[in-house]
Amino acid sequence: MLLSLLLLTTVWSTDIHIHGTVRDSVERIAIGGVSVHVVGTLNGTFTNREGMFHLHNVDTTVQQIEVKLVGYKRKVLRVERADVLRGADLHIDVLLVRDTVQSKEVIVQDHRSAQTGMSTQNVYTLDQEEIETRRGQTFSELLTVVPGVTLMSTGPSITKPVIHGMSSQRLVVMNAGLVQEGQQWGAEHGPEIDAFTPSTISVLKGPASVVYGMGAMGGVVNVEPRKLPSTSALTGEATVNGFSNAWQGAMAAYVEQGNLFNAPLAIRAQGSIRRAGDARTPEYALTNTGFKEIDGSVVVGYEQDSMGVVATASIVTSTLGIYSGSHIGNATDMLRVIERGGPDVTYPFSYTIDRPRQEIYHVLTSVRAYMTLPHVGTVKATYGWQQNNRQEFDAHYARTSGPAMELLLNTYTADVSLAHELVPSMQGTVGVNVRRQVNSRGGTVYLIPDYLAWNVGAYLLESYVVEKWTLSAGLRYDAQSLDATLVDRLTRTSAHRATDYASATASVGALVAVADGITVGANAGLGWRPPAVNELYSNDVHHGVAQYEIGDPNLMPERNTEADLTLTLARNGWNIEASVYANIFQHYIYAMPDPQNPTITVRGTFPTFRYTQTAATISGADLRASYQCTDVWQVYTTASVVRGTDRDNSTPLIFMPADRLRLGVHAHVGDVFGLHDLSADVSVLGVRTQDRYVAGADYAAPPPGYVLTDVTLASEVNVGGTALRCSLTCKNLFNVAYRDYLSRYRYFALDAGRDVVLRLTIPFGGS
Amino acid sequence: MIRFTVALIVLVVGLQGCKESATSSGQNVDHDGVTTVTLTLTNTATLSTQSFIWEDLDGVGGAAPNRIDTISVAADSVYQGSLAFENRKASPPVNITIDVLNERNNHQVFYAIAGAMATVTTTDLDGRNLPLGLKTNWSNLKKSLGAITVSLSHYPDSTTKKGTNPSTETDVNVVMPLTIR
Repeated sequence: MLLSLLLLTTVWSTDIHIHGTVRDSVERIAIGGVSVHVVGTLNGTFTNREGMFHLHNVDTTVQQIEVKLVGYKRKVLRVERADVLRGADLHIDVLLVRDTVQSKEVIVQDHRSAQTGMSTQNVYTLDQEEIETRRGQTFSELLTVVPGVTLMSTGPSITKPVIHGMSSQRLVVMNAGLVQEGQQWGAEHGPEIDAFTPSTISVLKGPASVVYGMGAMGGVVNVEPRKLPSTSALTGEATVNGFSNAWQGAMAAYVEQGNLFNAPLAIRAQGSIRRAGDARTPEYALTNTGFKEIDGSVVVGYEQDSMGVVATASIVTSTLGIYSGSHIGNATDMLRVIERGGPDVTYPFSYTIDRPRQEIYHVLTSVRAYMTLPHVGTVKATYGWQQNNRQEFDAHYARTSGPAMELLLNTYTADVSLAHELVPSMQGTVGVNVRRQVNSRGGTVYLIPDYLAWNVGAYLLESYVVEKWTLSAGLRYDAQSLDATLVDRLTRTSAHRATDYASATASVGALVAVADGITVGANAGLGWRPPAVNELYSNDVHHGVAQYEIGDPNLMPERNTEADLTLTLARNGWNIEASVYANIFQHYIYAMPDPQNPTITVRGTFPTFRYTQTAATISGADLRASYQCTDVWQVYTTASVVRGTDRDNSTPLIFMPADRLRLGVHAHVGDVFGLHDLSADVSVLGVRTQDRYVAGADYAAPPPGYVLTDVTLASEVNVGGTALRCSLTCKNLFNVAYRDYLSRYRYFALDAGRDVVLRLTIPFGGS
Repeated sequence: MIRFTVALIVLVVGLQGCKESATSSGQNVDHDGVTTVTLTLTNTATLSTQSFIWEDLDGVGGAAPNRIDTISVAADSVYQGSLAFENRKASPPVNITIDVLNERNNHQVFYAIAGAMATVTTTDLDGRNLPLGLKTNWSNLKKSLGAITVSLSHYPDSTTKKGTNPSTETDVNVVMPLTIR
């Protein structure tokens, strides 16, 4: 004990703490994601959203600190020996100069970390602290830090992001350079992405069809594996998470090494496991909501400035329990549960996962290559293969062993693009995408048929930087051919039905630095998607919502026209980003209730819903603001408002997120009690009731609003020279009983109650 | 380097020899779903027997039910009722009544009459002496018209079966017109 205390003291006394902020030299706006690195060591970090960085355990021999980011001129700061000796706490403010005449190096860098959307669009990149202190049970939970992003949930284990009131087929999730291809059409089908993937995550709000093709109407979530290391040291990180609510444990680890065989060859291997029992509401446990997950991935890269190849392979396997109380027979059962207000009998906590449940695996492999051709530009090629297998086991079919529904989706993609610079300050990309997708169904449920789909797309994007202006424009053309195999259930004969869709899309945008620290950006764009297979051909009971859904094979593609305006201000401690947007939809596809024709089955009568189209508008506003009162204290707020209207019927759109506001205080205490970089965060989230709904169209009216309080403590603890990062979070501190409007269990039960989360990250290896 | 790249691409493309068909058994056959509900009524005085059928041959979804008989009984008579569940879509047809009998503690059939004047009482019991409902007694029949709803409740946890409460997992729920002449 005494020895370890001595050890700690020695470490502290020779240790320097360097912190500071990085800003844009023209706009004076804080820049996140900037690499700050002590030259000649492995010691480095990235700036957070406020442009702040903290470097620890800096050796007294420190001489130079390198600050760099794609699109900016690299800066190397000399650290004076006198400064080092004067104190153990250095504050540095850095202004980075934009690299308007983009160097070759920048172009290459650009191709290692793909940019999300057009340069004038509103992109939120989560910083390392946001990822580490928010990593939850599912990948999507991370994204709620972004104003305007909410979750649609089917219990704690299945969540999917909703951006500006749009989800599922109206969003694109990119993973390792590929569009994640699962069964997105299902509200209870979350994106199959490991929450532990070492990655950078950015969220683009707004139409991005020009870059990402069909479906990117509401926005894009881009998950990129972190850059591979270039040094030959074998390093890694182990992460352990514990969640009190469902007695959930999760572990993950990765190891990585660069400079293999003295070549620019690097590898990273990662794995994670997770096990959770029944989630608990303030009043009862949610029986059969446990889940388990085993994931792994390998990334190998050979990267030079002029050319390189990066290959990624990953697998996500999970077994997800579906709350037994949400499993009902027919519409009368549903009303009986709603009247009861909760489960009939409550069972003690258990790890058992019984029927109904989902068993899923998702394999994703991508190979990305780039090569710089003199006087031409950089050619980038991506090949991808994904296999998504989903088996849904229904308690009604408990006497047979197989799943009620099995879906196997194979997707093959090939993308080729050329990044070029036609004239100085004008950069662009031209590219083509090809996709082949094969779906095969098994079991007895007819929500989607077997199908084969081919997609081809071509696009051109140009961006022009002149003084304080950035201008962007893009053009794209997509075509899809869908061949579905429809089965007549009585005769068991099948017939093919082919549909073709094609559309052109375009986007324009401008960003201007109007004054010191103030920018205004505006974008307008078109988005589209062909009708999804379930919207065309569904013909069965959708369990859990007790409705009979009937597709319409004659649906037309859905289109939207979006315009947004974003103001950012970074001055005198203020950091404000405010945006407004409006989405005008043509042929908005939704399931319309048909009360005149209820569906009679042997299991009873179900309300019939028919997929149909209408003119709709979704508009709203997002706000994120923070004020740095002192070096320690920061107050912040995020808010979002979404309004959806069916223009043809002059009614509100169903399932729009309710208005929400978060207020918080963040304290970066620094070093106390032998803790490094201690920070505390308290925030209160208020959600209004959704008062815009059509009475009687849903089984139950939207639930009342609620207020939740979250507290987080985070710090670095030095144990024997290893800097452990740990955080303790308490979500729903006061164990408030509530139901969220976008929770699909809200008809049956409360949302989960208090959850105490402990997260530990242990770096290892290195010099 | 080039060899490395080619090897890598070949490796990944090689994975294309993957399966593209779902492997679940029972493809397109809802082995367990009830398609046919048969109510057999025996007049206790004359011992004459009649069967009334509700049938949806293609199962839940697809086409509407293909047969819904009108139950026709004589006023002031007493009948013994017997209920059967089958899956006639499967070949050979599956007798699901046996499954219900085997899991009698987890099931109960409820009868609800609307409009017509009759009393239907359950005469069979499960392993815990709670009503099961496959066997019934029909009495107090008065000349009238109406409908009867026959529903089979499934209780995954048998302790939630109390003999009077329908569950929220209804396996069968059919409505048949009822004429008492």
